[in-house]
Amino acid sequence: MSEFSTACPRNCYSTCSFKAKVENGKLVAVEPHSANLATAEGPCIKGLSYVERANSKDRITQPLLKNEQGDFVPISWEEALQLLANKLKYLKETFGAKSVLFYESSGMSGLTNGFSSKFWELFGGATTTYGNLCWPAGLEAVRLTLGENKHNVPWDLEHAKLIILWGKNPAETNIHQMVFIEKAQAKGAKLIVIDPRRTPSSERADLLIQPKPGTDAAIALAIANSLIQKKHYQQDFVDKFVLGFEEFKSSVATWTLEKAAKIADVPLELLEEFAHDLATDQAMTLIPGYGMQRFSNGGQTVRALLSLSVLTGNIGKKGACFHYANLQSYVFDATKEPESYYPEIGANKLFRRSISKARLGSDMLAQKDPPIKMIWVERGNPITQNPDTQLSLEAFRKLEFRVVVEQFLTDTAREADLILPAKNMFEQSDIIGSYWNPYVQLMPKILENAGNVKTEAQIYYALALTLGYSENEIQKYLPEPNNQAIERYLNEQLKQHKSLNWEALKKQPVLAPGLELIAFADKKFKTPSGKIELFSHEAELKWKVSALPSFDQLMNQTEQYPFYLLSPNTKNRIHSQFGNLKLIKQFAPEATCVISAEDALEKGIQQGDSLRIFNEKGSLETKVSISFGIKKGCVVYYNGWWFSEGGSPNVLSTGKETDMGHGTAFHDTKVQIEKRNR
Amino acid sequence: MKKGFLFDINKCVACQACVVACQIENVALEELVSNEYWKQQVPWRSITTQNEFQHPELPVFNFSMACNHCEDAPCMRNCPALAYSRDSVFGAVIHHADACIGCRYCTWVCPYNAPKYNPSVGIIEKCTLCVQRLVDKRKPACASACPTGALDYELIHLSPQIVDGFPETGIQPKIQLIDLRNAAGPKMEKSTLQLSEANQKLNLLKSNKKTLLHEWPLVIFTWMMPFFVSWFYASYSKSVWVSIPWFASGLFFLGLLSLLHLGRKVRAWRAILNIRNSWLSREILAFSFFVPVSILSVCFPKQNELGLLATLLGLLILVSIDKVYRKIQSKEKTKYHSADVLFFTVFLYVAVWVANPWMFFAALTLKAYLYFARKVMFRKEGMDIRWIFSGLRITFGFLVPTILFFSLGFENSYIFIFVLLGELIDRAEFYMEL
Repeated sequence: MSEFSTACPRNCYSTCSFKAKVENGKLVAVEPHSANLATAEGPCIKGLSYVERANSKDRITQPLLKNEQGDFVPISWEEALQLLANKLKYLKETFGAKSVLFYESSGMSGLTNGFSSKFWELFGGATTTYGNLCWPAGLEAVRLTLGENKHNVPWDLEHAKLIILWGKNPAETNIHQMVFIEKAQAKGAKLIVIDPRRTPSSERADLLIQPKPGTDAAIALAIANSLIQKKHYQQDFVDKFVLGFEEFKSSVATWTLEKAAKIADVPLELLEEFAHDLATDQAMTLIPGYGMQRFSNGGQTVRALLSLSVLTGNIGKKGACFHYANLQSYVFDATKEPESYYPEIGANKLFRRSISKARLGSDMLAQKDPPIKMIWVERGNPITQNPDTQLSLEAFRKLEFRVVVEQFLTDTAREADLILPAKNMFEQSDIIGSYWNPYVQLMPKILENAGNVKTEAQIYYALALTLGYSENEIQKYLPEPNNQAIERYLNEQLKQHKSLNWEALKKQPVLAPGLELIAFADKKFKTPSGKIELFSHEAELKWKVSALPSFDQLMNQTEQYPFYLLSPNTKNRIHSQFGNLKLIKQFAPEATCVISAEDALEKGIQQGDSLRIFNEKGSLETKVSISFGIKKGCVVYYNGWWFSEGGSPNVLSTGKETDMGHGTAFHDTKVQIEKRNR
Repeated sequence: MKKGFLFDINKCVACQACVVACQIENVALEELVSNEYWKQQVPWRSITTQNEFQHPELPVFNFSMACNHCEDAPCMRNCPALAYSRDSVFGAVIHHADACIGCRYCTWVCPYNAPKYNPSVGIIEKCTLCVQRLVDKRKPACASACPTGALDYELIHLSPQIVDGFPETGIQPKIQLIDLRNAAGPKMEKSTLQLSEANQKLNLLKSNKKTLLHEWPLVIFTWMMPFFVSWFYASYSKSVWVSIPWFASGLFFLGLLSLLHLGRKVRAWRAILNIRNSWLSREILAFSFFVPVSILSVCFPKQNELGLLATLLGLLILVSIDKVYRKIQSKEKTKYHSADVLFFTVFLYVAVWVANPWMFFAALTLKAYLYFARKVMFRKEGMDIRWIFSGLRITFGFLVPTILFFSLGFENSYIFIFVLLGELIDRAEFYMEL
């Protein structure tokens, strides 16, 4: 048995290091890797389940072509490549290269993902997307205020005296953070959770405030006002480092706690206790999640939250930070998120970035000159994960040809004409960073490709050859199709940084070069003014929002659809990944929704009943589970279900961007529920 | 101090990593990726959540539980087939698949639900403490994988673990619990709805209730056993008439019926191996002797010694049956149950056989008292009273026999039919409460 140091490349905070054990060419065990101080205790069930994922019989290991009956039949790589080359040549000649939509998402991170764009560059261009499904509203809010997205190292959290989890549920989405929260609590720190749900992360909290979804900014502004009125803010800090305090002060002057309590529908005394706890000069870390910024007022909400850290001087101190995203380990990126999501139009004339990820279906249908004729999907599952499933399906089905590169038969893969088998994380070397832990990590190739799997780099190389490009020409864009060439490429990247080298990374994760353990300790802010900008002219200019943090009432109040649809992530999945594995499925074999006990009583719904959740976009049928822990007026239907399991919440969502950052306002979705008669 | 599980309730968030790590360690890879395995899989470790419906008045917390490898392990003590042993190096309680008869008695007597019955192979499986890892100086897979550090394998104190929701029955489980720092749960908005009210109106508890009623061969066996013992005794002491073919075939039928319950019927002979400790072994042995001795005795009624021996064996069966069920420490709260076979049922039957009204009403009154007392307790605890069962049981078991007695006296076999019906319902309810 051999043992390798590697890391989990999913779109997840933790990005665990782990030890992979290989026996007879098979992954047989996943064990903790203590060298990563942020994830030392070991990965979650998803990480452990790689043992099944890497050995699964459901894995796609050869090209599959859909026949006229709609069934997938295996074909050889030669056939697949020839078919693709013919298609691409024809489309390029007839409509132009931009009639091909290259769609990639966050299914797996790694530096080698960049090869895809290189291929399309070689091909002569393509249409691509801008924006992101997840976090850019919050990223942009932080960037506008602090200049960049970084925070203290995860283990600094144990020094906090007050921790606020605002819409984050690390127990399920970043389990290793719970270790540091617990350490802080054991030393007497107070934990406050603000979330419409009583999550597993809130069970050990001192205080739980459950606001109506989308009203978080109202609470933040009222607390800010209360701090200012009672002179409980850090005047020295504000005077020295903050731009726009006076404007902010007067803009929040009307925000009383009573007003916020009414808007957010929370007991006043809980808000008063929150305000009282914040009025301290002890170290406070505010940890917002990525859920509450997926509203159409998401960016402004995060700016409002951030004002609390700013007013109390909790930036750049031990145990104190605004713990949103830590991009310090993304040391190879020239442009970081969120700006990389929307590079200036015309930056690269070969690509047409005209389709917003948030509006995939409608934007695909709207493209003219040329219209979209073919889609190539990689590392993504847009049919279930992008808003408005029906519209996405319509757009997909109007195309001439659909290619999906996948490991499993996802709902998007089922829509494909041609499925190309995708590599897994053990089959090609790569290097990743993390948006939470501060390490650069190597994932070495430790398994031979399963079956007839080709890595994306190999697919593109072979396709370019089939298209008739010469090896010389191809190698200007892509490495040779073997792992040695990939490793040479990665090694070149490492040379940019003195502290990084292959041998060190092979043993264990390495702290990012230039890492600030305490972010902003130097009080240098890369904003236009060099200060923390509570007042941001750029926000106003770029996103047409108020220059100051504001509460913008959601425009989704309807009597017809009175329930908020919350579609949070669970411990069982990363978006739509992992849920198909039996090790995971045993804990949640089918989709269920959760409603509050009060709503259940009003509607005569009992535990285990079947419900229909519906709105003008579509409807879902699902079993109901009743909880006292859910805010009245909310329906929880978890993100990531496949259609075979009950369907995706995006059947009900609308393609809509957030107020800034070109994020996706999933959570504006409102629905009605009714009991199904059986 | 000894090595054992150290579980910090503050840290567990029910992430299930311990469950998955256990499966990966202990299930062969080919099985793990097969569909067959997942049709019948029984995870050795599982997480239970207290206050799973999250009522604001109560905290929500979890236990991760597999085998605690107790110092005084009830599975090992009570297994009739001697299928358990203790590992001499690490003290693990080890189950031996090749010795198990699949009687499931260990699943009843373990307060931690550690032995798991696997219907696909008809035997028990359970946690092995990962001795294969301990040999390599590695912790058990569950403890090694816990991402929050809630579950560990360390030197611990074996003192009683007095923690809400944890069964502490004095058997020295090798687990040390660290209790909640904040036992009240988070301060939050109150609910207008009481949990007990919600349980009823929203049907919250019904879905996950498990009982032993599905063990119907055992219900029939323990229901009919006092009938046959009393029949024999009545014939022996008061010369009540016995139909030898009916008596003999009835007993054989009961014997076969009890075999039905076993997962591995061909190994049934092993059931008498643990006479030293297991009341189940004693019951089965006593039954095995009672059948021939009592039949011989009714064939040769003049042989007084045979009759005496059969009576004693009959009593031993009934004592054993009650003892067997008394070992189930998990749910039952009443010390004496109206369906106990020895103290009340057999006397009631004997009273009918020998037509003794004083004995009949004494037994009936005692049973009625115990029955009502239990239902009153159910009501107090907000548990299901089972109105329909109660109504039938009272009507058939108490009212009709009383009326029949006063109108017809004992000179009528109907009275026995109704008494037996009443007892069947009572016995069934007893299994529902286990």
